[in-house]
Amino acid sequence: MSMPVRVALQPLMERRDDSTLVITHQGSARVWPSMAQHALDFHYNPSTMGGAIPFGLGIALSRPDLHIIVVTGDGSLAMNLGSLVTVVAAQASNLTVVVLDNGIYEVTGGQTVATRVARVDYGLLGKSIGFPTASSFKDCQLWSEAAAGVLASTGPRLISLVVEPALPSDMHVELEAISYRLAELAKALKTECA
Amino acid sequence: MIFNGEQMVTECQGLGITHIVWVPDSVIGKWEQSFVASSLHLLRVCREGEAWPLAAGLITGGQRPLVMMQSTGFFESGDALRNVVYDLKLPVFAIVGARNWFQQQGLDSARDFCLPMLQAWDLDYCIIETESERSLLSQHYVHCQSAGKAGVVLLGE
Repeated sequence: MSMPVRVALQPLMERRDDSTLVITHQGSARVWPSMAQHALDFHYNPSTMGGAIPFGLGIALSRPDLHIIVVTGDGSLAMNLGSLVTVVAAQASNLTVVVLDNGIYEVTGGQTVATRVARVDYGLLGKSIGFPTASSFKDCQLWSEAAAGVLASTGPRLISLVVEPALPSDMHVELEAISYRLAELAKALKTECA
Repeated sequence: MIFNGEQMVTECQGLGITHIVWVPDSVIGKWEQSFVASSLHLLRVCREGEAWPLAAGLITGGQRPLVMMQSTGFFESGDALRNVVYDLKLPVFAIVGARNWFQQQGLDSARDFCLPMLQAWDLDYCIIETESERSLLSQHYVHCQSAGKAGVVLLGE
């Protein structure tokens, strides 16, 4: 059982507010902008694989008044699994990591990620690392019903959503240069960084 | 040791550094207790590739991080560095410990690649090899921050 990506992202969109910064990465950075726009959205492409969680952690530590949601893929996370340990060690209670687990490197054509072969359960992984909240969802309705409670629970949070590959039409999006988008984010955050 | 822990804390505080983002080595690692005892926030990452985007997030959030790692970690984390410096265009600054810098006849190839790698990434760097050169750290930091560009201090080990 798995969820369409757009359906999996919907509960996050419905519950984000003006004190929530959403960082998308890789596949989700292509889908999210076609579903919603907000001054506190940052689509981290082009990026370094696995870079979104540390980037989000840095903002979370800087801005405890905001809830930071990082949406990343399982392929990216697998390249930087230690970043989950760093998040817990840094006690970033205002950070939520959402893993879209589709088992493939979607952007490069659908090759299998080793974590799928190994049957990694990110919810269990998160619990073993020490995330106060760590959950996995495969079913749309269960995720939709649980989302509000999970997002309001003690952080940092790790949420794994088992999803289907995105539609080919979702894999193309036109965005401004990332340095421009980062400068816009800095304006929204009222910081002088770019 | 070119800097002891107290001296490094003083340097960082004088520059307005808020966070140290690091993977320690046997030289840099001796500063740990001084950082812990100071007002600086010490962030321990598991791999050097985390350090650059973490520093980028801190800068975006209005902080002034200083990245610290050994040269080997600098090599390994190149793509993360590339993204932060050349895509995000953020002025990250780092102290990179040059492993076996003073062992010119050694068997460690890490020494040989320090300068070529810094040059390959087109980073503005300076080298500190003696105690008399300590002031280069603050000078180079101010220079790079004023110019809005990334910079590295290569610290001989």
